Amino acid sequence: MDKSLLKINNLKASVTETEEKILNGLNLTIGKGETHAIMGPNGGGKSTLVNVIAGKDSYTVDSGEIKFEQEDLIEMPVDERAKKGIFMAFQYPSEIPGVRPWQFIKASVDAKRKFEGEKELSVREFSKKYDQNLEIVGINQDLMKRSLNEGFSGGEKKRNEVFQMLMLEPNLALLDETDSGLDVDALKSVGDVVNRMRNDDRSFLIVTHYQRLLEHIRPDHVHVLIKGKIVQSGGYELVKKIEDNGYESFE
Amino acid sequence: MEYFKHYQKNFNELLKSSDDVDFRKKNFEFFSKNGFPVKKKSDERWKYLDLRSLEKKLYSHDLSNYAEGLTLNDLGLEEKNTIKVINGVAEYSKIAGLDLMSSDSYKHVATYNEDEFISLNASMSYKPIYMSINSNFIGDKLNIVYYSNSDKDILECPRICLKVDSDIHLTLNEIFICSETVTLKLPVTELTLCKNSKVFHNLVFQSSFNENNFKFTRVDQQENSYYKFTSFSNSSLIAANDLKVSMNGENSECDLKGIYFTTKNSQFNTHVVVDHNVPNTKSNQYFKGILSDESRAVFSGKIYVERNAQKTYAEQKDLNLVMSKGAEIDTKPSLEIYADDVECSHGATAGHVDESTLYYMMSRGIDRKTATQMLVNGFASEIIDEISDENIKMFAKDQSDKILPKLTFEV
Repeated sequence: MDKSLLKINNLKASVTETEEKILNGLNLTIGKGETHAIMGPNGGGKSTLVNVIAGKDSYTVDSGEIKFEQEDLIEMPVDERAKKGIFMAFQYPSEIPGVRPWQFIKASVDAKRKFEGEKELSVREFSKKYDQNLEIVGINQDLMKRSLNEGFSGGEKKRNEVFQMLMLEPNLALLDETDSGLDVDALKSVGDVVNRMRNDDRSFLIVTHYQRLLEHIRPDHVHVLIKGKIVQSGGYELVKKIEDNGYESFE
Repeated sequence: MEYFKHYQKNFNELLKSSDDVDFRKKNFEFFSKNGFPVKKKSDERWKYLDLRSLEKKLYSHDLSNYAEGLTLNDLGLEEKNTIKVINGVAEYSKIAGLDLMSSDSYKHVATYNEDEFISLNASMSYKPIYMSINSNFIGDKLNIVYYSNSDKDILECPRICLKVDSDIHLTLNEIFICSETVTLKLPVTELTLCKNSKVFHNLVFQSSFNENNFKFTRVDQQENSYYKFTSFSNSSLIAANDLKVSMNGENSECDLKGIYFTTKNSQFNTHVVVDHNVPNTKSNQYFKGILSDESRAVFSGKIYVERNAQKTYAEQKDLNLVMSKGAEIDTKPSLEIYADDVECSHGATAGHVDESTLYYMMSRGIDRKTATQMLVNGFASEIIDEISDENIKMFAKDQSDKILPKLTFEV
């Protein structure tokens, strides 16, 4: 049986509006329970890759395929991908005036449960989980009384993304530069949550510029993405090599 | 035009039974000189609206007072301290602390020559109310409920002039209940806020596609008074929310907010003016619109700062969500400042539902339609939540919950 969760073959993708080519024949396979990290210079295509997996329509897939649990993802609407277990922690989460975090996350959790044929969580069950997870991520309840992400600091927004990941329990979590702009404590907290969530069925794809977060997480696989292609893959030792020699040695 | 003759005849009849003859005559003269402001190029308020229908249909008073069909409890509203305005005529039982004034002892806030609709109201108003609210007023709430019930095409010109005495705190709710009546409503509310008074004014329009409703609110703020205005409006055939606040006393402050939904072929006009006439006053205008179908909305807002009105702090914002290709918003914020030590800001936006926000929401498993509704609902709640009276807030929320699923979302 195929143990892969996500399989990307020869993926070429461009920016819809400008037709600028970003991904140029990318291959990547993520097995169940594996944690992968993608590193690379700015403009290499890291963010594009995770957004294409999540389904953002400002990118167009020109050729190639993306399979998630053997199912073709490319034509699937964004919300359906999410309901099937793909989650993305955004680099720049949206601020939504007048929408409370509680209401938003309840709607997300309910949508997913409904899709899976399960009953909605009662307010009590949901609240319990909500409060527990807030504490794990270290978010103050008062902050969550505001509109979603409105008036949140950069770090608070990132913690809120990680909190949503905890609530939604995805099979595949995409972390798009979740570590940027975080202080040491917040970084450790994000790392702890990821480590705590790792299990045999859940996989992570972590996009980052720095080794800091990866020191906490110790990914199983590390890839270097340059000019829309993965130029080298390896284990955690690759992180050290990048740190010592920079990306130029891979080009 | 035929309508001039028609209103002249109605006016002559009404004049026989009126005491404030000079006031009425002066107003009617102004109206008959100008007529309805149909495509009046020089007037920013009306030039974008199509008011031609007002010239074609002839509206007359219907003074047979049918209150049937209006049950406030069913609507979550209270009977207590309520003035009912049926077909434009106010009726109420005696309310302690609310004293009638004579028409000549009230200093009008609205002027006879500022607007043709206001002049028509003043000349044709049947039994206008002049009242002062004093410390014997029990409870802190006064409701004014407007309702029409007639099988004719009716003209309604209610005028309510309220003087809020010093140190009084009042919640004033004005609610327009929808009806099937074909009507031209020209309600004018004048408020005088005496020293240290506080008024929380909530205004709700329920949708009605038989109604033309031009609502005018004129406010005089005296020293250290506070005025908060929050409006919720649902589409009517043609409607206007026309508000003018004059800051005439130092250290007075006003906070003016509103949300307008426009659907089908409705036209809605929001016109807000704040005159800062003295130093050390503060004002905020924050209005939002949600436009769909073939509807049209106009926002014209003005901050006026008099030469001596130093240390004025004034803000103005109008944000619009345009949900369909056929809808149109004309938004025109303006500042007219003659003092030099002031802080003023203004801004206006008109846009579609933000795609990147929708993507964010959908990436959490929420489908596009639900996500859009949540966004629009959130956009509206920011204003609805400001309604200071819980019953009225629920009433408005209920309205918006009914509209949201009906809105069409084309991008």
